[in-house]
Amino acid sequence: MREAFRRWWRNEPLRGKGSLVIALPTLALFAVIASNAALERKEETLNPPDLRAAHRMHGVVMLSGLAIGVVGGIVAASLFFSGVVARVQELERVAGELAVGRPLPPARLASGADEIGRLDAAMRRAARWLSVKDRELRDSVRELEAVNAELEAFSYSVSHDLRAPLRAIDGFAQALDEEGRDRLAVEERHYLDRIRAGATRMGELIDDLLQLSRVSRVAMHRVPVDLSHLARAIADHLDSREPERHVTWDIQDGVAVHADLPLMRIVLENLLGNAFKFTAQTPDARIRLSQDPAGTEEAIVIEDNGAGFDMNHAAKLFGVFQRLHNESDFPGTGIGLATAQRIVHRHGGYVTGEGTPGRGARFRFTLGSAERATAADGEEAERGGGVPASDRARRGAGVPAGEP
Amino acid sequence: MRDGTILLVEDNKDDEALSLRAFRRNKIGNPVVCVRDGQEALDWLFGEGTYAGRNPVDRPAVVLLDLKLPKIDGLEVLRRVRAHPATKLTPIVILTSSREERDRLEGYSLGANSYIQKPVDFEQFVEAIRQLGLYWLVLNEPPPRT
Repeated sequence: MREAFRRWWRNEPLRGKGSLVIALPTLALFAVIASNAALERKEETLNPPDLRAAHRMHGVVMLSGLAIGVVGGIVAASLFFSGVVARVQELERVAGELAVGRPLPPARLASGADEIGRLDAAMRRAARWLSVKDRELRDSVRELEAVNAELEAFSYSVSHDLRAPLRAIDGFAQALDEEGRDRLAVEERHYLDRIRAGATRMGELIDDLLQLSRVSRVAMHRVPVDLSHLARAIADHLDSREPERHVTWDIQDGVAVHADLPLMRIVLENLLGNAFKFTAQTPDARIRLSQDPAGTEEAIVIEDNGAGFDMNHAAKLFGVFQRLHNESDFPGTGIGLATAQRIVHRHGGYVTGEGTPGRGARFRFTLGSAERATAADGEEAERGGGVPASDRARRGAGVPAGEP
Repeated sequence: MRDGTILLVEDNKDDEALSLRAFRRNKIGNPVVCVRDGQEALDWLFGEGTYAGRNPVDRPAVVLLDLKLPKIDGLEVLRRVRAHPATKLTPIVILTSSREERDRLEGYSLGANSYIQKPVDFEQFVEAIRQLGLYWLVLNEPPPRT
């Protein structure tokens, strides 16, 4: 009997239980009204002693009706609320487990055909859906890790095995050149030079391609980076490599960013190295690094007064192996800007280049915020980054990190 | 220049020939022992196998160790050499094709004394060998014999 009642109580929608809460006091009220009406009718016909008895009778009915109404109402309400509260509490536990991704407790009180039951069922469906998606995500991550490991093994092998034959080509061509000096014609020795130049260039291409692939794979750690300091060190190094050249370096003080230091060094080496290379035939060579005050983003600008380039070919600027100049005029592998762009994109920023033939080139890059880069990179970046939230929001809506 | 032995651990015959040529070009006249894989390197260093009877306390002046080797790779050679009391102080220079971060990290972690990438350009390779010879065969004081 109790079990039957409990089952009815659980399966009955809330509205049914609500009607019980209303029905009991209503019934008691009807009893009181009916008794009152009967008394009024009897007042006209009965003599005083019988009337007194009828009044007493009416009093008893009134009191007991009231008592039944009040007690019944209280009992029904408490039954109703105690059931609902216990089930809502169970629902709360289910929601709590769902929120932290733990397995849900087995369905007990909260199940049923009413609103609470439907809510419970919906949360269980959500949990099942989440676990399916979770499994899919884990599978994708595993696949991605496998692909990454393969890529890693591939570039490891390239790095070890592709260079050895080049060393042999260059080394033995040199040996032939040296030991056959007296026997070889000028032209034959020139061929050996060409062979050696080819091997050296292939070595550079391999190194640059490995670097390009590495900058996409290495873990990023954002730290405060003093770009001015870094740029001066790179400028000194470039000057020392070609001491006969006189380049005026104009590097703004205190240009600071929040970025990965080794990656930023690669970006500056490429951009400043390019500026240095393309001003080789400029009499009064000037290279300038500054923080761009224009616009809402903190942008870094590197400009030179060198060979420049034709904006008609600007689309090729950041492509791998794309070059806008003759190898004989300005040597290079055509991988540097692609590498710089990849690093800038990993930071959530973008890079653009403008040029005028014979007048110079101007490269401008931003680094996004730590948060955006984290979203793009899937890594823990350091909190804060010194960028106000409003700025971050503005950047978030900025230029996509796609094409230059 | 002291007359310590150079142990060259190199499986590639081209690289071996070029290394010997680079020694000659730099007038490095020290005896050079060439071994072709990690196992042979360990046998020589520990005086075992083919080299049974060689006293492992006779340390080479420097070991030039390639990383990618048949049978036992260079890092494993390094690990075992450092674990052995007779050879743990032997100067070891990793001389290899790659400058992969993990090779450098693991090489140094296992106690390599130096890490040099073999340049493709032979002139640069000769220069690297010259500096290497100057440093390890002339400037550097070897650890005392124990």
